[in-house]
Order: sequence, then C-alpha cells, then structure tokens
Amino acid sequence: MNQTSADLTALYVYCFTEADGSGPAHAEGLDGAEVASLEAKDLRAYAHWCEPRPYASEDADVVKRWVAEHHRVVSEVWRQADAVLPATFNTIVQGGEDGDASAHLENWLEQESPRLKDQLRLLAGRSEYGIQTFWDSASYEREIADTQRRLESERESNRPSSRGLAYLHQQRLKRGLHEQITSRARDLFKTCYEPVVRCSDRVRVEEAKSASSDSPALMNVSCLATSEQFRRLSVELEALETKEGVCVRVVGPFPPYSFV
Amino acid sequence: MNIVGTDWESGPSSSSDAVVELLDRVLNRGVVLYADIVITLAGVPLVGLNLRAALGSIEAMARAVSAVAPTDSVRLDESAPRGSGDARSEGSADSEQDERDLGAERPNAAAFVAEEVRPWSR
Repeated sequence: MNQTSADLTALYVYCFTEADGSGPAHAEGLDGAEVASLEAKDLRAYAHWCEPRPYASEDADVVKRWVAEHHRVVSEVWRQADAVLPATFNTIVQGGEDGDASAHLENWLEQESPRLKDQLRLLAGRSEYGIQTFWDSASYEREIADTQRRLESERESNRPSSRGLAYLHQQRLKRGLHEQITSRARDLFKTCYEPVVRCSDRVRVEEAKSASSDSPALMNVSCLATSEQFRRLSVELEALETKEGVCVRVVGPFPPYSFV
Repeated sequence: MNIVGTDWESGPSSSSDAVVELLDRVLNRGVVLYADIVITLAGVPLVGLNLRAALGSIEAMARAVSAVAPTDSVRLDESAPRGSGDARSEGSADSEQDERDLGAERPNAAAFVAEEVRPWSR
C-alpha cells in the first residue's frame, strides 16, 4: 500500500531527552522512516510520522528488524545525550479534534515535564546491564556426588534392621540432600546478588531462566550503573566465578529501558 | 565472565540470548504514555499482539538454537528488504483475530493476553 503524507497523522516515539543536549542530526527509524525531534518545556522527543495504527507482524524477522531499528535510534540519541528515556516499542501518539499528534505529544511533555526531568537527572551517565549467574554444571555435579557418597557411607554404617525403617531412613537422607542443595542455592544467590547491589544505583530482579538442565540459573537481574560502578562490579563478579564456581553472563550496556 | 555487547547499530552479530534480552527490553519496557493520546482500541492498548506471538516464536527458536550452538546462532537480519513480510498494512490490528493467533502460538495464551490488556500506567 502506498503511503501518502495524508496517511501519516500519528507519531511513533522512540525516546525523550533534555532539550539542551546534543542529538543526532539525522537518524533512520523503523522501515527507514526519517526521525525528527520535537521540543516542549525543555524536553525533546524523537519520533517519526506514521499511520495511526500499531506496527504488527507475525513474521519474526520483521519484528526483530523493527526492534533493532528502534534500539538503533535510541542508542544513537543515547550516545550523544547525557541521559535518555527510551519509549516502549509501538508508542504511537495520535491526533484528534483538539490538535494533531505533535500538539498532543507537546502537551504530554509539558504535563509530564517535572517527572521526566527527575528521571533524566537520575539516569544521567548511567547504563543498564543484564546479569545472569548459573551454577557451573561440573562443580555442581561434583558437589552432589560428594554429598551422595557421604550419605551412602552413613547409610551403610547405620543400616536399620527392618524394610520400613530403611525406607524412612532413605527418605530422610533424600530430604536432607534436597535441603542442602536448596540452602546452597540460597547462599549462592545472596553471594551473587550482594555485589550487584553494592555496585549499582538500582537493581531489578527478573525471573531466573536456566540456560540448560545441567546449568541451573541462580540469578537474573537488571542493574543501573555508571561505568566506574560497572568496572568494580566486573571485578567482583570475576572473583565470584573463580571462588564460587558460578558462571556469570553480562549483556549490555543498554539504554535504561528497565528503569524508566 | 562472558560480556555480550549490544552494538547492533553497526551490524547485528549478537548471541541468541542477547537478542532475546534486547527484544524483552524494547517490547516490554521503557516509557509508556497514558491512553488518551496513544493508539488504542476500546481502551485497550494495541501493542501489536501479533508481535508478542512472534516474540514467543523467537524465544522458542533462540532456546532451541542455543542448545546446539550457544553463540552467533540467531542474528538480527537488517539486510532483509524493508517491508518484507510486513503485515502492518494488511489490517492485522484486529484484536479478536490476534487473540486467536496468539492462542495457536502459545499454550499459555490466556495469561499472556491478560497481561497485555492491563491499563497503561503513567
């Protein structure tokens, strides 16, 4: 379908910054759309004119491309501005009888100005990182095996005289083993979580997702940190890998998507 | 320690896990405008339910691929022609159809949709 300027009555919004900072002179957004900036109340929004309906596709490749294009615009702005508030995907402002989409967006910026400025001040110079820790499967299995050997030996030396008592004894041993593993997992989570809290301004705990069955996930968090905080955190996490046998994976830096 | 960068601007070459992390952030987080001025249908934000169904497929694909090849398995394909497979102009914003599609894609579609229709927050 051919698009005409008459169809482009809505604004797809990428992000917001302070108006006095620098920004990219030219940026291409979703499907090559030209990204423009719009200012109100000392704030600036980056957006492109689009049709007044959401971007939707069942094609995963199209979705991935859109997401990459959205992220690219936000990142380009973020590189030049001191702080950026990324908009969530498909934030599309529409026009109405009381004004076009740009008037609506300007009104919104004016109304939300104090809150947005506070957030921008808190985010200045900070980046988001995703941090996941996993149990190293080899050392995890060794630990389990050692425990089982010890329990087996204990069972041999205290073998009960009846089958019923033997069953109860075995159940008690299993329960003990489970509690030991759970307790270890809890301790390891605390050990991994503490340096993240210590070296970040904000932390958001996410659902832990295991990479594979033999590599259980201990922790999955997003944190907001300066480059200096992240440098210190990296040192601490590397020390944890050596000392505790955990595996740490870090993704980032991201613009602060999770902290707005 | 494995540190995965996010420099997708100059050419995507990230691991499947990193792609999923980016999708999660861009699609689910960030500043949300209230409903008066954003595109809505009967007060329900139309944040492209089809996108979420596609995301479910991406996550499943990424998990499957990462099981056999942990890095560089799923790439953001910026080289694809713009608009290829783009259903945006094909009226895919029909919410009922979206929900049916979603149900076919994801076993836990009901919970997923319920999460989607929560009111916009300020």
